[in-house]
Amino acid sequence: MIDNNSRLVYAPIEGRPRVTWPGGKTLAFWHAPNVEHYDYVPPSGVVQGRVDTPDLQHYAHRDFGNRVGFWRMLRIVDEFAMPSTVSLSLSVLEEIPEVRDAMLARDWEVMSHGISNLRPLYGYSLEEEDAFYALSQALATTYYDGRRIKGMLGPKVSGTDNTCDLMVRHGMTYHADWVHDEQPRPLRTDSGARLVSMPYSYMLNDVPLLHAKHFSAEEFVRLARAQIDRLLRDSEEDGQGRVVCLATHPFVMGQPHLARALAEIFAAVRADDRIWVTTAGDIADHYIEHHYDEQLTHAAALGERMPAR
Amino acid sequence: MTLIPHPAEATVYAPDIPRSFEPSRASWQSPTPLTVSVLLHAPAYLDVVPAGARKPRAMQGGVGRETGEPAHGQVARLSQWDFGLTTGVFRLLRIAEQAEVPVAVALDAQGCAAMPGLAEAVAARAGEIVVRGSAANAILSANMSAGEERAYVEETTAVVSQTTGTTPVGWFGPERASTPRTTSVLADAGFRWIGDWPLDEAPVQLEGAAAGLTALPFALDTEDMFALYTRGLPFVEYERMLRATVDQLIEDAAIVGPRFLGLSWFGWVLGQACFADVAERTLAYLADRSDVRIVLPSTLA
Repeated sequence: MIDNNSRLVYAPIEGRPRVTWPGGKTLAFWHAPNVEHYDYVPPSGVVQGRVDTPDLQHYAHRDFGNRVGFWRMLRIVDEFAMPSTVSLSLSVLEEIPEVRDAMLARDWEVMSHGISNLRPLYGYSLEEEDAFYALSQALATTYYDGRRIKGMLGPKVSGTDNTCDLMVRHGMTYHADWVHDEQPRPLRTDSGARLVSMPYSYMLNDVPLLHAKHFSAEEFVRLARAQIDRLLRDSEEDGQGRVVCLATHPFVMGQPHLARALAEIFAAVRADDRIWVTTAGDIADHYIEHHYDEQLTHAAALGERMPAR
Repeated sequence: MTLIPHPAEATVYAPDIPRSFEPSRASWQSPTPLTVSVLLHAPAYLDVVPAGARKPRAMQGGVGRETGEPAHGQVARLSQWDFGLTTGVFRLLRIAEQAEVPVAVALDAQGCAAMPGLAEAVAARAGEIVVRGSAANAILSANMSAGEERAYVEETTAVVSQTTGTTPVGWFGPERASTPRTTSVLADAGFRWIGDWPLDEAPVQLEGAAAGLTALPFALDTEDMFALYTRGLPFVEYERMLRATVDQLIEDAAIVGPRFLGLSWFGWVLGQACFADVAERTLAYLADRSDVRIVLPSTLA
């Protein structure tokens, strides 16, 4: 078993072989709308909400996301022709066809976000988690044009010690729970199969920022622009391609008072031709094909130079 | 003769902290109204802390709020802190170099021992290496025996010293945790300064068993992790606060004597792209002022 610290292949960003993006772009941008379902009454053992289940305020607030907020966000996504990598509660594929079909019509990439966002993976046995991935791929291939899922953001950002090893067993190549870098990085797996971290964000993310930190819409836009501007400047300086993720939730960003903020961020992204506006799957594919081996070799060489202790 | 009947089990004042209050004490002597030291933190977070190690009850980092230890299997906090080691501290080092500002970097034994290239790369760039204990979440505790605490200090110092090729004289405890014994243990181990205590605006010379050790107050309010995460300030407000702090300290120096400001910045916080411009503009502002000197902490101890 590989522990979580040992999953990470460490190398300082300075001194790494260069990571480059297609067409000479310096910053890869991916939009990750979290289209989630929250059980009316969660499975036993899951503590959620302010009152005994069902917590109607919580449930209805989240359900607003799929009923209304998603569609408001979609209009803005369409306005900017923004490719999206949906972090999806996979039950939506089977149970909310309106949302599923709208995503498919726009060629969104599905990234697993579990079955429901109140069903975390904590405590799953190897067999239970293996079955979970089998079900995840079955849902995608059955309901989403036969497409297989390439990556996952754990439901409620959860996992187990087996998660990375099982993900690759089921054909996945990227894991978005890790926010330890501005580039994808190799993650060690027991089989040696290739899995990379995909830079997601708990900062450029509407839930932590607008709900937990109480930012205004204007502050959210300012933060997004600061993130993008700095990454572009640093990439120009050191030649390292970088990744920026905008994580949204229809029950937050789909609220009427935040729509303009989303449009402002998308406009800033579309206004700069140094930005590769893409999906997590395409970033992972490019990195694995062009950079994975070289980065692994570089990290191994650093390890050999460590002083003996 | 006192009137207050303090409970017998209470310790009213820290036994190892000298009690000196303005304005009854002598002013700190310094050539400029404001002296600034910048300490960058590059701590390594352990997903599973070894048996017997002491952990903080709550820490910053993760999906949203300060919490206790995340459920096993969530890597949000682990990877967020790790960002400081892969990327953040190097961004801050580059910013400091461009501003021609000397900085100290605090490394722990876990980062130095387990992250190939980290100690070497940081030592090549930092003006001073500071020891930050075992790991971000393996801390000092009053529940340790004296022997355990001494071993903690000695072993972590040896790892940081060996991997960086330096002889550190400064200590900053993970989560600013310490015990009443810590200062004497550090003094015995050859340390000259400790940065844990945000208790003053001037260096504090320690006495007794800790004689020879100076407490350099790295402020909490101006610490990025405290301001941007614990308080949840927008970065614009944080930058405004930093500027206001500097301006007020310089103004006050004319009345109460020279001031010290220890800036405590984390690779995983201010080293994030969205926040880094705050560091850049703040260092530029400081470097541009003739009434401010920016020095390595060890020069003050």
